Amino acid sequence: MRENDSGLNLLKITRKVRWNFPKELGGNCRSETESRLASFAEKSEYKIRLFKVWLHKNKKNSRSAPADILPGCLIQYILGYLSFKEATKMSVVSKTWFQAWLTLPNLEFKVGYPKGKAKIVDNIMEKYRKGKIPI
Amino acid sequence: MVKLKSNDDKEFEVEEAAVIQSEMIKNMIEDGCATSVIPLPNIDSKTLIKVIEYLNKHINMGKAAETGEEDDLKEFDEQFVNMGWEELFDVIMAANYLNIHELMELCCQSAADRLKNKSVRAVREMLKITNDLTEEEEQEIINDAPWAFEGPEIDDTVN
Repeated sequence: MRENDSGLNLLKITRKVRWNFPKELGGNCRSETESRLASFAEKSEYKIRLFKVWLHKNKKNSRSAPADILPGCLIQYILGYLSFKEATKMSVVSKTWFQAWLTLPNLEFKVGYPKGKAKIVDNIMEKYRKGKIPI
Repeated sequence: MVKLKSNDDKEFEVEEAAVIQSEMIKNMIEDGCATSVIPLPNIDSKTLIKVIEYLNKHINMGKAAETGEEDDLKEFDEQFVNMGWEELFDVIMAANYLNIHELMELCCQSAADRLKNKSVRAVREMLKITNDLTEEEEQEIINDAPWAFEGPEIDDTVN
């Protein structure tokens, strides 16, 4: 295996098994990372040592996915520019996006709710008030 | 002139009139803490160049409206946001940090425009987001708001 293309292959594989290594290594779950690394290396044909060396080398210049670097409050900012329906659709993109959507500042209530449903609106307003979430 | 320093140790000189569009730096100057170089530890030089380009262009916003150069500025804005996702997010983060309201608005609007009418799958792919929701969780969200996932106008293309 040549040095050059092995790096690219490894990157592809890590993406495939959905393992975001820079984030993992940056966290304080070192031992968990180690064990995952071992099981991961077993699955792939690469030797664990080689893999570690590669990880170390690429730690600096490999960035996580563009939207993963965006904190929740900024995702929310972007969602705020979408229509409420669009924003709701985006809430299934990932956990961070769902969290951002939960406290979205622009609410939309359609008039013409049946009487019983007005309570739902009350509940939502109450939740926003308690959490001091700006609308 | 105000000197800004990016996190990779490059210095940039910017006119004060331009740089005070950043609420953060404006406050710093007013408080007299901007006597020498202002270090910006979470902005790299590539992003800072973009931000400065924007600031310089928008320096005479008020004047532009009078002289009818507004269209020119609009065109510049359109050109400006014509960048990759990663770059766009870098600029958004910088704009947020520096507190440049107009730039923030411009970039977030552009991001939202690009996401409009896209399918969830396309969004994930475009932004390279890993889906960390389990299938049940995903289904639960969809069941809670089925109306959001209706409609034929879903665009599945990635660009």
